[in-house]
Amino acid sequence: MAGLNRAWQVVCRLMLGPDALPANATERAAGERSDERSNERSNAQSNAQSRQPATRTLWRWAKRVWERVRREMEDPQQRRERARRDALSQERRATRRSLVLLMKQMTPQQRREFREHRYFHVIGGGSGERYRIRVGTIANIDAMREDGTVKHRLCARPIDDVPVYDVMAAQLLHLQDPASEPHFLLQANVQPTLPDDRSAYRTAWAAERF
Amino acid sequence: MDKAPASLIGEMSIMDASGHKELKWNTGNPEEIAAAKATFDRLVERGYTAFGSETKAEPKHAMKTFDPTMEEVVMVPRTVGG
Repeated sequence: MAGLNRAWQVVCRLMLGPDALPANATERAAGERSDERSNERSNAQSNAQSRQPATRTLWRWAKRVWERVRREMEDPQQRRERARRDALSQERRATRRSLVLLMKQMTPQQRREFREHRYFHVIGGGSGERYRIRVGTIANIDAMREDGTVKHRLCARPIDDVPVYDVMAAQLLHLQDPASEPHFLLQANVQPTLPDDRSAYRTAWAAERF
Repeated sequence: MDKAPASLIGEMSIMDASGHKELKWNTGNPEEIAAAKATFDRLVERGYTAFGSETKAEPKHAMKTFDPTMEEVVMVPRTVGG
């Protein structure tokens, strides 16, 4: 019983500080300890006083250990969060820059069409065919018939990890150049058409994300 | 809009993951022209395609050799089928 009481007091001091316990509790504990060791009865007061610095030291040590553990746990989390925010910010900046570059390559008519519909048309420099370039990086080029329907889709993009509007600018530059268009068409993969309404849905889907 | 005759600055936009990087050269400065040409040749060797125009208003066309009189040049990485 006395041992349990003493253990409880040590826990209280560690958690609440060396001055947590009232004086009568300390005296009761000292009285209980004298039953176990007779030579401690006369020095109960001085023993309590001598234990206070040691307890305080233990308390400070425990606090330091806790602070260190907390720092070790929180710092990587904060670093990861900061890195995530930086990466997102860089991605947005890259997207804005690529949009500026794309707009510079377009004619005024293409710019109007792009602002309104999130796609624009290009006339092939060598073939004279009409292409529609939608926002996206995969199968975003529609080869158009004269009546405005889609013949097939083309998928070709720069090999590096460039932003979406840079992909579209590259496609525009290749298709409108007479020397570059045949080579570009040879490299492009041909995809089957989607129904027109699904094409429109995918354009809206891409517009929400880009 | 035509180039201002007093300041003939050429601009090369190199597409990359950051959007694009810009390299400018003064058509009257041989050192800057040499640096731009070296960059152009290095990128073409790596598979880039160059598109240039003499004025900003003109549509761009493919170019195999560096021409310092081009006002705008866009370097496009090698294209692959998706």
